[in-house]
Amino acid sequence: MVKINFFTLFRLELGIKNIDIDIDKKIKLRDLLYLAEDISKKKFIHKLIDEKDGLLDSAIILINGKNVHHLQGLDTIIKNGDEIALFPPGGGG
Amino acid sequence: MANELLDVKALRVNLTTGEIKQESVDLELVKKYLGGRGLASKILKDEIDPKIDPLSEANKLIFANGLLTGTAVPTAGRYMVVTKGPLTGTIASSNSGGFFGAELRKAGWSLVIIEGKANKPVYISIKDSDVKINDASHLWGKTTDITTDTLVEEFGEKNAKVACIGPAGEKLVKFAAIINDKARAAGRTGVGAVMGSKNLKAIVVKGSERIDVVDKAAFMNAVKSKVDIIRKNPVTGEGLPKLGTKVLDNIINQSGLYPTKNFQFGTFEYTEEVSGEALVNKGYLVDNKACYACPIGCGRDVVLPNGRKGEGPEYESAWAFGADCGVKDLIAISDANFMCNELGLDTISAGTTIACAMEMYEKGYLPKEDLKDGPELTFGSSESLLYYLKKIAYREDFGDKLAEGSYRFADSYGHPELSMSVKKQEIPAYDPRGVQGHSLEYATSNRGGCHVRGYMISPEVLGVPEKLDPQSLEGKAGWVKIFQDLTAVIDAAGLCLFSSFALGADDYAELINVGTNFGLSTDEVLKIGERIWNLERQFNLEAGITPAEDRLPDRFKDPLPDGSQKGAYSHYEEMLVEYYKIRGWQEDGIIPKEKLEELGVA
Ligand code: SF4
Repeated sequence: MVKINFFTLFRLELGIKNIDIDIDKKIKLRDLLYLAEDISKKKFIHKLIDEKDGLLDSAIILINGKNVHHLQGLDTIIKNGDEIALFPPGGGG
Repeated sequence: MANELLDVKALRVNLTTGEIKQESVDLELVKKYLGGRGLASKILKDEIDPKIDPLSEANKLIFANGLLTGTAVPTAGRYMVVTKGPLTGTIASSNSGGFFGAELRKAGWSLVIIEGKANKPVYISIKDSDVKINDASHLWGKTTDITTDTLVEEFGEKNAKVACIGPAGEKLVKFAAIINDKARAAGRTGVGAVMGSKNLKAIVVKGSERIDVVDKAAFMNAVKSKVDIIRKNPVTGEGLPKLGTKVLDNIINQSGLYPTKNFQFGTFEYTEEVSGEALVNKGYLVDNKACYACPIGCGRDVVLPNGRKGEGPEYESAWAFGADCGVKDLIAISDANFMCNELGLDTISAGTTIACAMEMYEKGYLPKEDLKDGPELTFGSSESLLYYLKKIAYREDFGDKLAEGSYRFADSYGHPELSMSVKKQEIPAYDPRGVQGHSLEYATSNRGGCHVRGYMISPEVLGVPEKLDPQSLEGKAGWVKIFQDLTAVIDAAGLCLFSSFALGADDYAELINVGTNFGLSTDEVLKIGERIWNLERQFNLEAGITPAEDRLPDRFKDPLPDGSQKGAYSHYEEMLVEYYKIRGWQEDGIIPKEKLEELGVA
């Protein structure tokens, strides 16, 4: 099982805190995100990925706390037990 | 009276003699330093001996509007308070938004230079060119909210704006703030104590002149295009308006950088309880608030279930009273923030100093008798948080020791290593071990531990303007330099640093040029930032702050014990050499004469 946690505006606007997804084999992050949209029936990928299927610089996707920008981006392999945190672009200070 | 953008005027008020003078600032100086932090730092360095005692009569306190403050440029409501700071002994400049700065500019004043010391409490009233020093005996001891209401009423102008100190500034608490518009703070570096040392309780101002620019149509076009960029940007157009700065709690905690219990850990188990999302979901957030001419509106209007209301808490403040003190009670955290505004205290230094005391108490370095009748200083105690905040502001009992800031406090018990500070100022809400560029930024900040002198969290964590690996050292020294220089420009222009989530150096250059016809290239604008940075550094060197103080507490050489950055530690020392080199400084961190001459600082 993979846990996807939604934070900041995702949580407030989509009204979901997290979803659990059963995967029987390893899966790429990109495919997992589309699967999560299907299961949750919520649209959020457009806040993370641009029209050319590229990860936005300011999208924050953490796999077990590590930013996927410094892993393999959308091609990062997700396995059972991973915990994913999704944040739309945000900043403050 | 015409109020032209390039007619930069200073009001010089000597509180010892009561003399009030009006001066014009040389345009060449404006071209070199713009305004705000830049111009005021130049004036301070020229006019005071950097070695003076910051709380002596010889220190000066400069309220300085940025070049564009009070115009229609988005976020152009910022002013800076520049002085020699009592917490750090460095040059201090503390920035604030709200409406006070813009009102002062509309009264015709870019700078108010306060000199000397009044022999009894006074306040300064400014109605355009009518400036007076008035008795403030009846306001002494009052909180900032009451002071503000009383002055607006007495002044007879309901739209007058007030900047004042609370009891903490009067009592010379080393991290006392100046509060304007009741809830906006020139918070850091203890500028409020300098105001208190001069017996100056407040400035109240009402202005009536709009600011004229050379080519109004071109100016408004540029303004409109930048507002559009800010509105369309997901951070400034959506994240900040909807969640405020507390959008960061979960981002930073999940990234393993959320300093907990005086920076002993990088994650806080109760973040969900105290996050920006919780502030909304628990129904405490009523509305968002904007400073003058700001399309972002990151301010929070909050009402607590106990009936207390106010602005905030902001990310840094809520972290300082929350995770850093191990407190998970969002009501107490918000209340602590309101109290700091009322008492006139810097939230970051207040929370971090209490967190330091909590660690010392738990480790047995702080005898219980010293607390007098106060509650035990244990992590997680919201009762002790609120109790000691008040004691600090009035310098009562044990609060008198805490009022010196964490460094002097911990040092007095023989444990300076437990003060999480740089140059004696407490560092804010990002553990430097997990973000190498930001760690270098902390170490080299000219006003001590600070996140807004070159916010490397932006590229290293938030991916703005591009995503950098937070653990990589490569190129970071260069990034830090550019961020520091650009930030100095934004400050000198009178704009909010948050605009830089959407705007870049070219945008700022365009806004400066269209208002002034200076015709500066982007590189020349960045050079202004570099000039300001070097001038501040030179002030510090002459004040006796040596490059040996470009350092972080030893704790950050030890690996983070938890969270996603477990095992990471700060490599700032390795980057310092490259940083000095990129800055054109000597290997020992001293600025060579040639560099000062090249920048025209000497
Ligand atoms: S972004 Fe926030 S702090 Fe900055 S000017 Fe706007 S409301 Fe004020």
